[in-house]
Amino acid sequence: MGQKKDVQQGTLALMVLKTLDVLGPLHGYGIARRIEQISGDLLSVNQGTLYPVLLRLEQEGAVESDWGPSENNRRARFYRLTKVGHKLLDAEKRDWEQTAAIIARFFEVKAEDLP
Amino acid sequence: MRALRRWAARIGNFVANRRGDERLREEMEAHLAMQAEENERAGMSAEEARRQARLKFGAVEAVREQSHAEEGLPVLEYLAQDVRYALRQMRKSPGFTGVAVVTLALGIGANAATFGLIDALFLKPLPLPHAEQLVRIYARGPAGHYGAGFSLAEFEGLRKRTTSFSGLSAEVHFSQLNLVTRDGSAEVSGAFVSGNYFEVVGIDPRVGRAFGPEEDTEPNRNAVAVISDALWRAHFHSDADVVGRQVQINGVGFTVIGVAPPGFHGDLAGSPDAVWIPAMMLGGTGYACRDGSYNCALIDAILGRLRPGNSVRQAQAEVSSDMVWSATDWPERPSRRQVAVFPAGAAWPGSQANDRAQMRLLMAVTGTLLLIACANLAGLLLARGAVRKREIAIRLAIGARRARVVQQLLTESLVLSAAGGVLGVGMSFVLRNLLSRFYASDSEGFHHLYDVSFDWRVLLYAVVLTLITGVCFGLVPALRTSRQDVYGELKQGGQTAEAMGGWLRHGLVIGQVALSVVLVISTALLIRSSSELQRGTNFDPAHVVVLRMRPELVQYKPQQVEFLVRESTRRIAADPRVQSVAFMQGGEGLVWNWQNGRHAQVAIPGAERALPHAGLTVLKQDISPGFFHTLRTPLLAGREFDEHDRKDAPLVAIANEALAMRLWSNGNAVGRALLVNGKPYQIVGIAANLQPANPLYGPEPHLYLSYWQSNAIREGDVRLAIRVAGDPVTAIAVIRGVIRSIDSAVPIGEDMPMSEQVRLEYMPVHLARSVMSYCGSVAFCLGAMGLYSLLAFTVRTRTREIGIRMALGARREDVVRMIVRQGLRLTLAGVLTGLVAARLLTNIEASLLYGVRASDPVIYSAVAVLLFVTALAACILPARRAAAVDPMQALRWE
Repeated sequence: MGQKKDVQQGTLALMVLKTLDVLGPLHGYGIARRIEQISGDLLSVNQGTLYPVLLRLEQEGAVESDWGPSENNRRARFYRLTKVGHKLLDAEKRDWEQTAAIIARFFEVKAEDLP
Repeated sequence: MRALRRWAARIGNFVANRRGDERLREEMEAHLAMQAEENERAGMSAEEARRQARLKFGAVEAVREQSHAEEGLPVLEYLAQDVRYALRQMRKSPGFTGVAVVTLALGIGANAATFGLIDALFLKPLPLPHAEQLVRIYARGPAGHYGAGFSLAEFEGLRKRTTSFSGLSAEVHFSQLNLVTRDGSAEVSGAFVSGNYFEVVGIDPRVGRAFGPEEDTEPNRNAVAVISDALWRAHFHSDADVVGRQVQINGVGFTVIGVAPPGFHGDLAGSPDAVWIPAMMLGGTGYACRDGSYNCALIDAILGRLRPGNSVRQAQAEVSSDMVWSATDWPERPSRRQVAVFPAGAAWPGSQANDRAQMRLLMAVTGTLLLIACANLAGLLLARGAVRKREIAIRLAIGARRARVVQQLLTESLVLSAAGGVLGVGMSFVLRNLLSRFYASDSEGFHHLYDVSFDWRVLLYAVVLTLITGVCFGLVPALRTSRQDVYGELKQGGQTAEAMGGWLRHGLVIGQVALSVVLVISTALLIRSSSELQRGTNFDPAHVVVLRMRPELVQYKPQQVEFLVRESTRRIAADPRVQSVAFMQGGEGLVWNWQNGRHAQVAIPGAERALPHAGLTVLKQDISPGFFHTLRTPLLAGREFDEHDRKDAPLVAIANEALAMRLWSNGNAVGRALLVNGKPYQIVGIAANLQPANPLYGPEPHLYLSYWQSNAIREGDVRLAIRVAGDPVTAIAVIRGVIRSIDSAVPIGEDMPMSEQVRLEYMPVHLARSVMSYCGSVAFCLGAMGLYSLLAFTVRTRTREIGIRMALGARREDVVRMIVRQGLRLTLAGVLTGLVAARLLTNIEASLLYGVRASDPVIYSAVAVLLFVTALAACILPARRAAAVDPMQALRWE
């Protein structure tokens, strides 16, 4: 249970980083919308879980935040990727791709392929 | 790195008590508003749009909680909360808090004090630079003692070849030096050391100079001395021009060349030195070989400073292989010696074993006391847990996790034990000072010096002990209290309190009673033992002064010794306060040379072959006329020595009862002939056994010969026993004055009342008795209290049941009987367990029991009766309260 949550939080953090990387500074709602558009139902029920993740990333120094006006002139908190965040994203991305590649290879293997 | 940064932020937030609640609230509001706007744009009604937005967002509270958890350090926050709550709880029930804190303080205090003593005896490093590099090398003889010694030649050889040591210094601890200065004399301890000694220990004199290489070159040339700061203050008025002054040490003139810095007392823990003399002066003060050379001069020990990075083990290997025990340089050396290297902080290894055994006993006793305290508190907490059941049930019902409740209850007991720990550490100062008094001096009159000041080791020990104690008495009650059926509890309204922890509490009370029985019995045995010792076994130490003269240290010839002994005893006896004077050959104690005494071979003429090795080896003492009269030792038959038993008279001997029984099974020995070391003697008397009876060391066969018929006079060393009318302490000065008036240079030592010497000789017994009395009485009170509080609690929780019983016709006597029966049943179980345990455990202290057996039936039954009477008293109050229950009220109550 805890582990699954960790995985989710990890992927969520990666998605947040990538979103900020692609779209530039964005407020929480914007990030949530974007992730929802791409990932489908991951955040459909629990958009709120985004905020602890953002807080954590900020404490780690991967993102910075500041108040600013939203599109509808509402006061919103905008998150922005820092240098540390860029590096983190690169590292995580590499990790992720490696893991994905290994897992993919495992799934491709058939019994007769094994010596 | 990232984790580090994150923790820094969290700790920062926690410390600053900063919370992003406001920001998070605003962010979430903005989020919900934006989502709602979008929903409206998609065609929902305003209300529906907001509802959907909230649904999509999820539980706002959970997000807030989670953010908060990420933000600061919730564990610490909870802890602070719990501690605040615990303190509030403690204030609310001051009675319980007071009892608990005092109980803990008594237990923790005793343990911390014992550890303080262990710290001072074994753990504290010497107050010298890089004390961890200092080691002492001993030679262990075939009998296992550490006094076999080295020759100067062996030492010089090792010093030349060593690679593991940066410095080596010979050491002879000379514990009775008679120091005569311009203004008087004193007995001091001192050491003969090599020229580089002060270099090895790493200190510089505060006045004058230390020894140098020139002190190591020529025997008997450099009669120089370095004195301690304390001696400088006491005997030289801290004069800066002390350098160059002459002092007499054992009759030899020495020039003071320096004063050691304050706080330096030599390198042997516990035995402070006041004077240091070059080892090359050993011969000049009586330590030369028969041929006048230095090859046999005995060095007690070698002090070494290890090179940085070298271990004691490496040093041991090097020294063992280096020391060549060649017969040529020391023909009389003891054969089969072994080298042993010890860290220098410790005391002489021979006395260490005894100290260790003693400390183990103290630790066991104080540990048991703390265990009893824990059992007591666990019982009290279980009772409180039962009372607080409802509160806990509500907490669980409104969503507290069990772990959280356990954490909170455990915090409460830790706060309690911390309070007890603080008070206990305070108490340990007092207790430790009392304990260290037992180590202040020994039966030979030497002052010991242990640094019992508080240090981080003791503090750490107290803290760890406090934590363990807190968990020990708090964990089980916390687990039990938090495990409950919430719905049942809330519905029933707390009637089921009795069932909870019933058997556990009973078990705890039985355990407490049993352990206190063990401690009280041990205490009683030791009190008997020590009073038995103090009274003296077949001798009466009250009003007797003992002292030792050592004329041989100032090079007396036998005729001079004879004159000194005759003249001093004559003059002392002439004093109107003195009733009688006796003396014996020195060396061993007056009545306790059981282990290391001198021996003689005895055999019955004609029956030599019946005994193995041509005879029986017995302890032997050379005593003066009137010896038994002065000590008030009963003579079972015959006479004691008198003035006629001189060199020219027939050889006579006195046997103790044990020897007489051994040689002649009917003990009828007077008038019989006996071969002592091959010479024929006649037994003229039988004396009662002087040795206190102990299960481990029985009365040993003992032979007494007449002082004036023996060769004792050649050795010089004499012990006097003087029976006086009135206070022996004031008589000491008079007696010393008499001896000084004959020759002020004669070293006098071990001068004290005999009862004091007996007390010091059997110090372990008295120390154990004191600690045991403390622990025994506290344990006794705790046991009684544990029983009382259990019964009182039972009555409180069974009020309703008692009411029903009475409504149904039970009389008050029946109720009283019911409560008392419960109390006595528990006591019976506890006492029986305790008696069995005591029988098994008191064997540990068997070596300390004199004149009383570890299984003494009188003490066992007396303690059992005492416990029952106390238990009965503990039952009375609860029983009366139960009898006073008004059935009508009890049934309406709850």
